[in-house]
Amino acid sequence: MDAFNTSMPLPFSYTFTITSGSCNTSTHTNPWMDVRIWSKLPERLLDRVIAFLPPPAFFRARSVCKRWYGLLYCSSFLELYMQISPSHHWFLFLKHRTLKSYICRANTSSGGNGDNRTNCEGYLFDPCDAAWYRLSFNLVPSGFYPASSSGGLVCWVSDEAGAKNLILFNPLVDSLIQLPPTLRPRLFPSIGLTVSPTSVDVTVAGDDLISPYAVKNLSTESFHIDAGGFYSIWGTTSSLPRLCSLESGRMVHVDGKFYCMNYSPFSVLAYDMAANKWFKIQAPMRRFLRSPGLVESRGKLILVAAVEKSKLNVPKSLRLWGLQDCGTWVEIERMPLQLYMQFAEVEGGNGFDPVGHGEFIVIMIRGSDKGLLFDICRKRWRWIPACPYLGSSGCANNGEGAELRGLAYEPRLATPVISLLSCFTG
Amino acid sequence: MLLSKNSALESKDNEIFEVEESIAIQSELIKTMTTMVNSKAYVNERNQMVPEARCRKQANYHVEQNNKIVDEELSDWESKFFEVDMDDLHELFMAANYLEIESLLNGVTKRVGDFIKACKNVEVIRQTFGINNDFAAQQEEEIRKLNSWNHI
Repeated sequence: MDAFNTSMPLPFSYTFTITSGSCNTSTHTNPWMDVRIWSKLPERLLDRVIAFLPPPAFFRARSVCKRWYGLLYCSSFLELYMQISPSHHWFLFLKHRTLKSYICRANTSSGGNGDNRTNCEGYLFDPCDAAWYRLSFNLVPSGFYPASSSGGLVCWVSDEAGAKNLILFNPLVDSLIQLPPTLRPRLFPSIGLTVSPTSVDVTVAGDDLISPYAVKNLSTESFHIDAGGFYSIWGTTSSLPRLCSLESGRMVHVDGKFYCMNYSPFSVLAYDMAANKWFKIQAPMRRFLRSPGLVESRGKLILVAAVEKSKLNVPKSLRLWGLQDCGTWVEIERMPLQLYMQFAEVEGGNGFDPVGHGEFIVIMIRGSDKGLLFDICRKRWRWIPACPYLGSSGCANNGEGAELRGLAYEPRLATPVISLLSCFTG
Repeated sequence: MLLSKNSALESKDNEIFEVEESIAIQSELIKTMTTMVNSKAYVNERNQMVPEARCRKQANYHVEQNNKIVDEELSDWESKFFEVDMDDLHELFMAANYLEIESLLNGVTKRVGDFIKACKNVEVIRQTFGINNDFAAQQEEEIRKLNSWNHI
């Protein structure tokens, strides 16, 4: 596995060299392993080591011998894996299809070759080793777009206006299941997903089609299933606060609540799943925010936004605020000014979208494939190295620069919770 | 830190040393024995497997872990703690497994995993762990192709 390749041309010189940290393999120690003792390692301990491997290393290890190959299907190994494997806070990027491409597709009779399969592959980014991988999404049917990710599953939503079909997909092991359709017809609702080893919760909000040509943010419906036998097939419904505007399409889950950005003026809407109720939270400095977005980080909600006080002589900046338990925001980080100047130049006022989990936040510049990675623990900012798979022959991008949209994705070898959903398929 | 009850542990090399009870019970094994024996200071006769140096190192591991509050300090300290010879790592592995200390075990597990990650190819992994390649040549090639992850 290659570590961060510093010879690759990066758009700007504002990078940090990787110093020693838990993500690096050490080269200081004697690497020689005495095969006499290591070959006697108990099988159970070796299985533990394999369960700890990140997915690329795990799949390579399958070539070692038949026993290692079969671990992916071995229930005792998978049980161990579910108990002890660490969370890998990685990111999944897909090429973004703009609204324009939907309209073009509707106008051409044949449906077009390129557009349908734009999302046949995804690009997995490991923020620890700064490495890119390619994943295939060939199993996902055309006519769906990726909306959210949690617990190793990616949620795809049907394009067509009307009752929405949702698909949950684990790209590592190609397991896929379709949920029963939502009850209300909608256009492009906001989707919130949270998956645990024993439960699945999905909330679909807004964009109610009150007539074939009129859309209003009126209601939400929720889906729940858990291993204890409780389920709700979109039966849990709630009204959205009046006059809300949910443009982002994304909801972030933190501690039993889904949060999403509300626009004009900016505020944060929160949906309490247990109480089945929506409430509003004021945004910090709401008159001076630009391109605000929400991410989850280590059990807390974080608001990421550019601050621009053009009338006062306050320097522009990009800031992060954390939501406290008492409901107030506290500024936790500000992008270094010099870096923000570079960032703003690339961004050119187009806006940006943050995604994050664990100790990492990625801020992707809209309309581009460029983004910044922020490590919350070490307080380090760096540009993400360019993805080497864009513009490959597999998925034509019609000669335009590729735009990547990201999801906070945790690769999991097994997502047994999918089997809970099989009772709903026909 | 308050002075609390100390446990006396005896290692395989017949060395007795004291650790705070709150640290000693990080080991599931010792915790079970403590609840069974219920005395302030006892000699763990069964601790046959673990040489003295390992015990001390583990006691230190927990003391330090409790001292480090900041995440960054902890992860930097942890990576240094595990930068040992592979032989020492093996001993730590066995000891952590025997004493059932989960956090220590996970740290060692990750370190061994890092080694596997860094192995140049699958043959090196086989050699290190003394594993026979029981695939037919064609099988192996097919598996390697299907499971290789495109990366730079």
